[in-house]
Amino acid sequence: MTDLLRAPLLPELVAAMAEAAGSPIADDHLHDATELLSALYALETRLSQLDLDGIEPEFRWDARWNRGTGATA
Amino acid sequence: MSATNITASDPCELSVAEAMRLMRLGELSPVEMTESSLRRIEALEPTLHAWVEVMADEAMAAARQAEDELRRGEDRGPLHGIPVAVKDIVDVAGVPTKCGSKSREGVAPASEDAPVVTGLRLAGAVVLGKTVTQEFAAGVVSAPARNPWDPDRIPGGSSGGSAAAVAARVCPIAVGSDTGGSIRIPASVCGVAGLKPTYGRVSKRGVFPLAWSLDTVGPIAGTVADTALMLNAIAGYDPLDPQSTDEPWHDATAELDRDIAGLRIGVVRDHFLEQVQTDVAAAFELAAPVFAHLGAEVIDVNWPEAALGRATGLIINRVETVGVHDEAMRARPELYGRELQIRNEANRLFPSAGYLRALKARVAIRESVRRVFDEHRLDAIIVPTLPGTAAPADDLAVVYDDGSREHVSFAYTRLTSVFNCTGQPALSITCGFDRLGLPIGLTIAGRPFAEARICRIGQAFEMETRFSDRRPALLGGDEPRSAT
Repeated sequence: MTDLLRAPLLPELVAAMAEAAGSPIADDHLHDATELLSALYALETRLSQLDLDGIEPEFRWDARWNRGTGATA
Repeated sequence: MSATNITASDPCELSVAEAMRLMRLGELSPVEMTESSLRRIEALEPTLHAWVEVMADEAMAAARQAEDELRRGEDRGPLHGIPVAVKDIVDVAGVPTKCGSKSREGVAPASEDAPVVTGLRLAGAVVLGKTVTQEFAAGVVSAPARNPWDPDRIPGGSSGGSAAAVAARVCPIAVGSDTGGSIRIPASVCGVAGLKPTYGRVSKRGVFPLAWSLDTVGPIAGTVADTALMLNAIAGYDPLDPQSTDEPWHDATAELDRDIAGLRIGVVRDHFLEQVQTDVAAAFELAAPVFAHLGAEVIDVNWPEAALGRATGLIINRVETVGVHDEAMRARPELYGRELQIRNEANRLFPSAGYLRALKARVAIRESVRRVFDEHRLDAIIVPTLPGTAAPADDLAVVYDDGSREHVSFAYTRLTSVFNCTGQPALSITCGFDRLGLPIGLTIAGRPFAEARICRIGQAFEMETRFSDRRPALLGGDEPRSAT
């Protein structure tokens, strides 16, 4: 488990990131876009509560459980 | 509030099972049922706003064909002659798939039906038309559609038009899709049944994607039995859909005639009751003993990892949505709604390492729910579907009893998206009503591909409580569901 330590996102930083990515954000969207991105960062930080060591991401998602004792008939 | 020319004896009010019985007795025809649906659309649409395209001529032609077939003794099964609504992200041949977006204005009509629509037609269903969705299924409001229980409130989303149509008893079944809760959310706030099938069980070909590794397509219906009947028509392996799962055929109706004595049902409270309206918590706590009364073993279980399901699902959802829309949105941003534009602008800056972390977390959460099921030998778990009931259309928040508020886009997906994350099937049914008379939903989630088991459990609850018999305010309120 690794803690994510991040500085708060500011609109100026988000604007600069968007410029650098070649997709500037309109001024009247910047505040809301910053809030959304901050929320997503916060959610990702919560995932550090899980022990993900040794787990590989599955790019072809399969909902089936490979093992299991089965339930009642 | 009720519209005129609406009675509980209109054929469109019948469940699939009831209509099927009457059609086989020659007491109801597919034409009569479809005409009844079309009349109801005409009566309610000025208030309901659930439809983007009503295919009246095509529907009547299909109904006449269904009627001729029945006369000749050609019976396609339970959906023969049954009107169905289709969410407008699903291709129906000859009709443009507009996805609730200005960016799709002028798009050519779909050249062929999506496999789910093909399945419905092969089963004899009559496609009435396309229903309102939030833009590209990315949201929970579904404007301009409204909720039949209170037309000043939202029907939820993104399959809001489909749920509103079924709740208003325009038709007994409708197609929805669910990436973070978009079948179960509108089902819950509209007081109908909604089944998110196991990921990979229903083909997504011909369905506009939102987030490919979370998207599912499934039924919304007036009763649990009808969701199972419809699922049978649309489920199955599709080798042309890369996410389809090659599983043996499972009959979703296989267990409907059986009681639930001896089944093991886990009650998960912790995360799921942390912040919910008091009426929701009360309805949920009253629901659990009903399963015990019906003979099930009801067990309190903990599933702490569920608290991270929404975070995981939302990150995957948002990044994959960028993958779907980024190129087109960069080219013509003005053709997209403000909400989706801003979402894309923000989410394209999210680091790929975060997406990979979420994909790993999803594996961990899938394993955690498997452990819970195996440790307690569970057939299903039950949780509240949503923390609140239908929000007003002019105030898009769930308000809690301590006065705190949560925007519907966060509140409604907080308890639902974990099941998109795990991929397991989840059925929302009505488990009560709040102090305003608005429906409250209960979710029954099962093992992968065990839809038959959760439908059996849901139907037992439904038959015992009869909440699904109640009629929404738009139809004039409580009268018993018609038997003829």
